[in-house]
Amino acid sequence: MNNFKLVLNLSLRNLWRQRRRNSILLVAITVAIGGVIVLNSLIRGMQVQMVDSVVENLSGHIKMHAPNYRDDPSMERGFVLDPRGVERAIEGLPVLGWAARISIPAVIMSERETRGATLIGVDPDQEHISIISRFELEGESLKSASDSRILVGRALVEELRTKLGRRIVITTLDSNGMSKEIGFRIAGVYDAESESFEKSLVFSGRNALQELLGSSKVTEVSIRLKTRYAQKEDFEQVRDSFLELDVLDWQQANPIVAFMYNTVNLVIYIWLGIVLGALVFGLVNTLITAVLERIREFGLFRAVGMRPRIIIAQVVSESVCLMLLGIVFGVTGSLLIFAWLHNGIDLSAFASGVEMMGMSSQMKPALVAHDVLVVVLVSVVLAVVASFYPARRAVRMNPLDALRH
Amino acid sequence: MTDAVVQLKDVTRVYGQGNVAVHALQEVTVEIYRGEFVCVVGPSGCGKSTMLHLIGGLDSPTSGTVTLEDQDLSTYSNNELSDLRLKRMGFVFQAFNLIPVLSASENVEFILQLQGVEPKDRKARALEVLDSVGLADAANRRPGELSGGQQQRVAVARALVGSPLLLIADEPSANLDSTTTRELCELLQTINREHRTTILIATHDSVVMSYSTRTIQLEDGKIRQADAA
Amino acid sequence: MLSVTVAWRNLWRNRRRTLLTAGAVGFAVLLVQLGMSFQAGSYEPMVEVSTRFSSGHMQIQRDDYSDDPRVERFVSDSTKLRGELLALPAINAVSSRTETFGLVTKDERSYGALVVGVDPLVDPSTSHLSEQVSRGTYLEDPNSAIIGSALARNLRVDVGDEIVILCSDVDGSVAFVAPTVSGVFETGNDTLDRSLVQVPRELINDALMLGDGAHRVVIMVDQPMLPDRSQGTIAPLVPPTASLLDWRELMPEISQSIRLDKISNGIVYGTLTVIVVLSIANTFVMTMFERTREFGMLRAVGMRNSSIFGMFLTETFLMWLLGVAIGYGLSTCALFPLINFGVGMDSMGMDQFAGLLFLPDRIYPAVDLKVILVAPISIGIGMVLSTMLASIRLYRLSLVDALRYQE
Repeated sequence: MNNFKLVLNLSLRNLWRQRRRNSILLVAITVAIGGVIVLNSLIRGMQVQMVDSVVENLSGHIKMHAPNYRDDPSMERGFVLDPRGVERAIEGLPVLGWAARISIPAVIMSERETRGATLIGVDPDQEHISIISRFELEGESLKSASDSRILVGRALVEELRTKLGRRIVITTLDSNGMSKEIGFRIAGVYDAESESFEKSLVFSGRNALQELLGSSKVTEVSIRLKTRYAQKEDFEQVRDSFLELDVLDWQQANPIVAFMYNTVNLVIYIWLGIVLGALVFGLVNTLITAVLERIREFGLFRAVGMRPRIIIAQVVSESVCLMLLGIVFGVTGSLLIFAWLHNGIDLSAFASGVEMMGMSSQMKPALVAHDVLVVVLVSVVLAVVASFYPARRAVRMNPLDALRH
Repeated sequence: MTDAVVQLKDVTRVYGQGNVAVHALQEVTVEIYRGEFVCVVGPSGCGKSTMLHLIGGLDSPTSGTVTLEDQDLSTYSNNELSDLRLKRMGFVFQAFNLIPVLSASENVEFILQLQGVEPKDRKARALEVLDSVGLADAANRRPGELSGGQQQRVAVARALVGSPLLLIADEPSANLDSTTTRELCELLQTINREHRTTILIATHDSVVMSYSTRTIQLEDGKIRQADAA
Repeated sequence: MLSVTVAWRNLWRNRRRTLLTAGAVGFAVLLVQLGMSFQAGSYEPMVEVSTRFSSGHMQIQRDDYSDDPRVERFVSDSTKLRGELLALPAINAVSSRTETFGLVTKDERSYGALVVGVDPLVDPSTSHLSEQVSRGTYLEDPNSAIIGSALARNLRVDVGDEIVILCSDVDGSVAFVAPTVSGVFETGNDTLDRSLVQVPRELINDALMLGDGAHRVVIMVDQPMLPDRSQGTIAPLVPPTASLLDWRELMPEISQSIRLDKISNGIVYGTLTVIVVLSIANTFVMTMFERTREFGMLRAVGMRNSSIFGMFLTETFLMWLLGVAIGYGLSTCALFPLINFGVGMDSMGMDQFAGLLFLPDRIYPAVDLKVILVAPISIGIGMVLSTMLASIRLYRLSLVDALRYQE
């Protein structure tokens, strides 16, 4: 313990003795650590946003369909909902809620134009789990699952050249595969963040749709958990309860987003490696110089009986102290930048580009404690490793040679 | 117009300010004439180095004037002083005299290059001057491979190669044994006699003093005793 | 030159330090070059692949068509326009397309789809769709159609079946065509496979009463990444009520994601460069301190400060040269096989998404002047600044202090 204090004291004084060059290195470490943390938080923010928007936009964490539905989305590929079965399957899971829906392709005709879209039948009481309950609306929302009016996106309303309160005609296939034309009154016009969402999805009451299409089936059940990511066991519990259905977690349901999500984890570590790799050069250089110019001093220490181990400890501790100081500055700096960016970075200039990647045009950084911890630990380990070679040089010379140096 | 190469008139040099001020030189007036071999002697801290630095234009006086061939050094710019040292003076220090990465002859050539001598002439002149200090054999060795005495001879060769008016040496014998010191002094004496090069040495080595034509004794920044010129 | 010799030998006075510093430069040059060459190699194929799905490099459309694509907003006399365009040297291919929304019906089933009329002999030069026909053949018969695989499945039609396409003509009255499915295509892009039908342009134009009109005149040029070059020559041919759009406007998601990618990578390269340059600056400052007395001696023997600074700069330059050589050496070793053989999307686990993200099957890193020069130049500038920073001391320190300096 006493030795430790001595070593620490010597290290700090030596760092201070060469404060000019150490301060330059300190800036480099600060930029590196701060840069890694800020960039990681941006990447994580992007990742979180991608997942959130997928989960929020109707996918949920766990989704089930009848087999073949994904190949041929139609009422024929629906299944009869057993609410009690669902409740049993999710028993004990941290479930925020679940929703049963009908989702089928449809052709929409106004008085003037015709467009293709997906018609979705929902129960508004269940949709607190999705974006549907958070639409900004002109007009009214659906009142219940039996509401036979329709919600249409702003962009689609403009393309159809119709407006709130008007009627539109929807052609779709009923449960026997027969074309059916149904008239709807537009109850509300919604604004979503994504234009393609607005153009491709229209919503009506689920029970009303079942009645109009002469079927009691639904085509999907979406389950949303209270946590951000679904646990594997939770997913398996649901999957094993519905062996006759196609049960997907959000990653299977959205392979591109899942791929990007997994790539991001890799990118974070590559980036960390690159930055710290660049830092090693400067660190080793400085430490070697610091050792060489004090060879006599070390020789003196050895001559008065200091053990080699303590000299190694001193060099290593100098390196670690410098790194820790850099970590303090870097983390503080990154927290300041984080606070500054907290409201998000406006990427609306790249709106369609970021939409293609499943992100929102407000990019919000997300600070993950685990990431910061990894950065801190890896850099401390690096400081130890980088100082080891110079430290060995300091003790390899015999005391007399060192004194004559 | 006098015969003096160097003139110091009421020269005072103070380092620092207030309580910590050190009066390195106080109202020193001295003249050094062409062809002299002058030793500035005195204990450490008496102002010897300061005097040499002032004469070499490395430092400037707090008050008083330093003139070289009747030119007041304070009227020179930094670059002009550099050129003056390059062309009119030669310097030899106690240690760290040579460029460690260059061989003996390259160290000499380097000065010639700075002086703007044609490349084809440099090599020959460098060898010639090394020969004159008895180091023709060591021309291709680097300073690290030379003894202390040899290094000082290379330094002298380098100082001489531009045929300077004045050769200034600051404790040149401090790291040398007495035999080597004698050899060095004899070399300097030969140069002094053959080329009429004025030599100014700061030293507290009696061997060196014995070669001088005149000594100036400094104590606490003042001249205690100066031989008549 | 002796001063270059001095500078070069000075580098080797501290071999380890020089190698570490040059190594840092090489490391940064290598990483930035690898990154940039992959970027450079992926953007153009990405544009090429994505534009060949449908948009082409450029299009001539009626001014108001992109805001609200109505069937009556067409460019007339498209065949004549095509001929004039093809006469321009920068243009490789031109194809006129008619486009409308239609209800595709087979028996009792009907789905909405984008119906595109193309000239079967011409369109394959602007689009890959003809190569993506997985069953049957491309449009060979004047009364044929090719449809997306998902749409075919949903409609339960196969090659040889007749489908009916309902749409509205220029007057707003209902029009229909009844072509036979000659082929089913599979692009890998869900939206296209689910909702695209192509028919011969003559067939749909007759039904819609469009004559020789086209909604999009699709143009392929020599250098899509530099659209400005060809735009000037095309502009005079564009009809007064129409305008010329390039792929950046037609597919903003592609050009924006390229820009976003460039910016975010720029931040990464910038940070890397700053860290490396700071390490170098630190080394230079250390060197300067160690050599204080040497510089004092050089000044005493008559060397000017500016010459000493020049020598220091020469050392920097040589070190830079060494580092860049290391970086180039490593990146050449790394890039040479990659440039020749490319990197398959499958090896990165991206093959299944290539179609959706508009990426080609293989990426070949591309090296251009920018890739080669950006890292060395920016690090070089950083090194010169570091040299200047370290040399402040040279000008500040008095000669006497320099000579007396004890390490």
